Amino acid sequence: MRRREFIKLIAGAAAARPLAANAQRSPLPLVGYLDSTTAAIRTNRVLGLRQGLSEAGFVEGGNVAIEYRWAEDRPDRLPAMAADLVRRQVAVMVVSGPALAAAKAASSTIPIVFVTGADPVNDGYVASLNRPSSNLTGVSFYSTPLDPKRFELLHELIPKSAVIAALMDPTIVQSEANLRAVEAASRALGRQVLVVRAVEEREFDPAFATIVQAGARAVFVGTGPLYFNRHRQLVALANRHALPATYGWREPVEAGGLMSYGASDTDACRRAGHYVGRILKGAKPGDLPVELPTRYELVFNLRTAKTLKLEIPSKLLALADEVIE
Amino acid sequence: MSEQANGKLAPSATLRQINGPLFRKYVALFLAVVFVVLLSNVLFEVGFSYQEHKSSLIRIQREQAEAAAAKIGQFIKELESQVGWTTQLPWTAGTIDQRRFDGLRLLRQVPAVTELSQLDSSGKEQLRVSRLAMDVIGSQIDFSREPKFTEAVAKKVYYGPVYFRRESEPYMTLSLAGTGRDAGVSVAEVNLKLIWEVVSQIKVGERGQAYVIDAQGRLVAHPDISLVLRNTDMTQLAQVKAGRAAGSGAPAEPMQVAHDVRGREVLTAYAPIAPLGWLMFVELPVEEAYAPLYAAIERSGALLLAGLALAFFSGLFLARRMVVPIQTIQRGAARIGGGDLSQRIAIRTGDELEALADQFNSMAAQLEDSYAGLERKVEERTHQLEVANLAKSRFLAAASHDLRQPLQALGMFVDQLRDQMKTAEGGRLVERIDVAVAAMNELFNALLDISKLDAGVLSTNITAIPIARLLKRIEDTFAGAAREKGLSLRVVTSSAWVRSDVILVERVLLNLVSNAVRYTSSGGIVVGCRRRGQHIHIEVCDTGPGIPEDQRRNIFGEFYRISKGDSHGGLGLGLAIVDRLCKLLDHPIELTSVVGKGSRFSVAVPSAPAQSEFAEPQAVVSIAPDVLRGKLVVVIDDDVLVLDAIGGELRKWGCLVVSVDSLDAALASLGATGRPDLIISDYRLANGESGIATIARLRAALGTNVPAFLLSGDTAPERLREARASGHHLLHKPVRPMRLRAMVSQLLQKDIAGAA
Repeated sequence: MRRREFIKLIAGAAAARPLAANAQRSPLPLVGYLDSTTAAIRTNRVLGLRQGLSEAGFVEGGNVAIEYRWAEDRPDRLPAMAADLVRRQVAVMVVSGPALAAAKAASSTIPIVFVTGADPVNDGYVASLNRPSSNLTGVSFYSTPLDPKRFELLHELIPKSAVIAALMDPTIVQSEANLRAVEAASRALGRQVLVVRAVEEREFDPAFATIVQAGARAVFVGTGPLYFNRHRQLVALANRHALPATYGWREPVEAGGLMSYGASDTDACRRAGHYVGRILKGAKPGDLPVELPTRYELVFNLRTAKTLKLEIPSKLLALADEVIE
Repeated sequence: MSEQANGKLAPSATLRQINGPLFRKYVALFLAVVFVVLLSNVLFEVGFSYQEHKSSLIRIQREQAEAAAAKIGQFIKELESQVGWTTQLPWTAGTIDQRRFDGLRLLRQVPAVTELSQLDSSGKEQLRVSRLAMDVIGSQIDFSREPKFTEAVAKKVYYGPVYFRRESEPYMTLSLAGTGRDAGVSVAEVNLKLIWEVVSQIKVGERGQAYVIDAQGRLVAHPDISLVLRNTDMTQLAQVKAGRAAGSGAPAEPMQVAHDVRGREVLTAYAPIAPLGWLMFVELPVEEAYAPLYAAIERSGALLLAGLALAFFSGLFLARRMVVPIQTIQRGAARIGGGDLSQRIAIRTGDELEALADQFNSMAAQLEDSYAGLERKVEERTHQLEVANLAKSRFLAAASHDLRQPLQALGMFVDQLRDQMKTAEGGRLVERIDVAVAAMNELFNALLDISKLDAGVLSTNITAIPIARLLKRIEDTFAGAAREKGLSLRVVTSSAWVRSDVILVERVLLNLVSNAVRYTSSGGIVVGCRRRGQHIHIEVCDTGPGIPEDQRRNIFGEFYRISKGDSHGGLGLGLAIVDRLCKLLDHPIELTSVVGKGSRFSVAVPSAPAQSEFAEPQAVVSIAPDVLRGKLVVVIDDDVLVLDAIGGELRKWGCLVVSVDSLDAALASLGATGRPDLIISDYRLANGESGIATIARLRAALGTNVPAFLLSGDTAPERLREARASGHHLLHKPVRPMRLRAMVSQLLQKDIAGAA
């Protein structure tokens, strides 16, 4: 008799425990995603992040939840959103480059994983790639430092005498140094360069007008969040003015731009997803070094070339990693 | 155990009933044997499978390490061959553009190469193409002293040490010299993160991993790339030390248990990646490596337990089958040994146990037969003895009777001779003849007494006797003889009364004292009484030589004298007569004696209440005529054996016997036989009938007071009182033939006397 009662007691306790555990476990670990632009522009990055998380064993909705905050090109909203995420007690924050400052200000204890196109050390995000700071690490797709190389590639396409306009964003971090690098490249190549600045979308039209008026025969589109986020407009403008343009990412080329050279930000987000997974499993951000890309792609859009009536040398085409017809 | 009505013992048992030492022993033995077998089997299996498992693990790990090392080697070789293409053209041929294009194409085809520079045959850099930085043409930087130039020129290929760009990216310099005389050297900077991709795809079990250490012991590739990027130093791990110590040419060593970079216990194996001097390590967590082994051990353990459980129950079953027949036999044998010879053991197992049980049964049957045979033989012998004894006594009686006549005549002649004899010499002679005649007379009297006693023809007349009278007679008889011998005779009188036959008991005492006087040479004789319970013990004590222990029984035998030489004038018959008289009167006699000091004979006589006067017996003890012959005796007893015994005795003496077991049967028999002369009834019959009531009813049915007496197996005093109150005599079972005969004679005689 006593034995039976004992067994009932144990069975009851065993059944009660999962309920209790469920009650405790119902809030999933929360990942906060803070971005300065809109969700529409960032679809591929979000996909990459999800991909990376699933490779690390976390499925959105299954064992992790992601809170998205889009500032929609209004940087002044970022601090409040960052603070909100902190209040929500997110386990990790994933931020794009421009949102990093707000995130850092909002919390110095919540782990932050950034995704940026800049050189993190150059731009002062972290002290060293090897050992980033205590709660900060991330992935760079390294687009801005490649500007000279990209300029060199564009230089191959355009007749030597023509002027290449460089459309640069002066608001990015280290913009002056970057500009000087581009100018040095053009000098090394013996190419005349025209620097045009545009700090916001409204300035695109006038900028292009200036470029056309100056007689430049190609546009080197600089890097930076603004230009990335508004690449469609830039592509449209370039094509309207029948100007071959080079970009730092593949998306503009897919949208109709002529060529691009750079690493994939989707892949960078995937790597960031891996890092988020590891931090959720207990790794410390300071132990995770900042990753740089291993592959850089040269992409051409042949249709655009045809429209521009531009002959791409077969040698250059042979070196392309991808050709869009 | 179950017993069937016919006295057979058959096996059946519950577990509790058969749980004895033998059962437990068998079960334990069975269990032990099975346990030893199973355990040794399990241990062998486990031991062997441990060895096999370990050696197969070693083999697998080694093969994996070598395969992984081969993969890396392959990767490097591919790299080499690709870079080798760029060294085809000597510097004198081809344009810089062409070379630049070749270089860029290499960059496209080999993602691992971040930078390719080409040095001319004097070591000056002529071209540098880069993935990240701008290409540089004709820089003329002099690398002629660098190992990447000198080694490549010397050995055709140079593998530079692993270095870290910006402290976080592992790179290696690979330079190849061209085949031609003027070919120069191509130098490629290889991003080793791409080796990491190869390494991270190597699967080692579930949670094992493979990693690569360069010649300096630094981590080059690891599934966890952050360890690589952090430039983790692995040189402290034991397996790394062993691997580096072994040298690049040594084959992969057997696996050892070590700790990995995170401190977990792992089994490791390594293989060298030959041209580079790197080491490929393959590690498997110990728990995973040995998991199948532990599972096998658990399975074996479970099997062992299951086998033990099975063995236990089988053992119970088998032991039961063995032990139950043995126990049946044991109990049956115990019963037979305890005397129940009719017991038989029934076992049907069809094996040696059944044969053993049959042997026991036949042995018991034989014992039964023997006993029956023995009893019969004993009966026969006893019967023969009795007959012989009786014949002897009768012969003696007859002979002595015949011899009495001449003896009587002799006595008379002696008297006459005495009168006639005038001389003194003659007178003395006559006296001696007289003494001899008296002795002969005495002898014949004694012989006759014995024969009478043996024949059972003496009937007793039990009355109440004052002891004082007996004692006075003794004193009167022996005072003179004692004084003559110089002995003191003290007779302590008593006022007690006893129940006995006055003449016979007197005879007993006279014989005892006569013996005492005869055999005591000095000292004295004391005769006294002691009351004990319902008896008075009459004791005759003397200071004679005493009787040794071993002769105590013999002295009551006929013609027995202790010392053969000195007869003291006795024939040795005195005590024989005492013995028989005591048996007849049912007075137990006791002898206590110490050799050299004296003897004491003690006769226990039942006491009687004191009466006012003593009636001298009128009738003289005489040989009773054979009153039994032809008399009809009805014996009523519910015990068949008693009926048989008594009826047999009575028939031997010439009576007609009707043996019945109840009053009704007795009444029924009367019609056939007519009036009986004597009724003998058991005191308590079946169905609670009382013997007394039975006798009364029979007497009533017959209309006369037929003589009767009671038999009882019950010696309780109440029986005696009740019997005495009823006026019947009571004999105690088992009845000795002599007493039976005496009682029957006495009652029949009385009847005759009464009738007459």
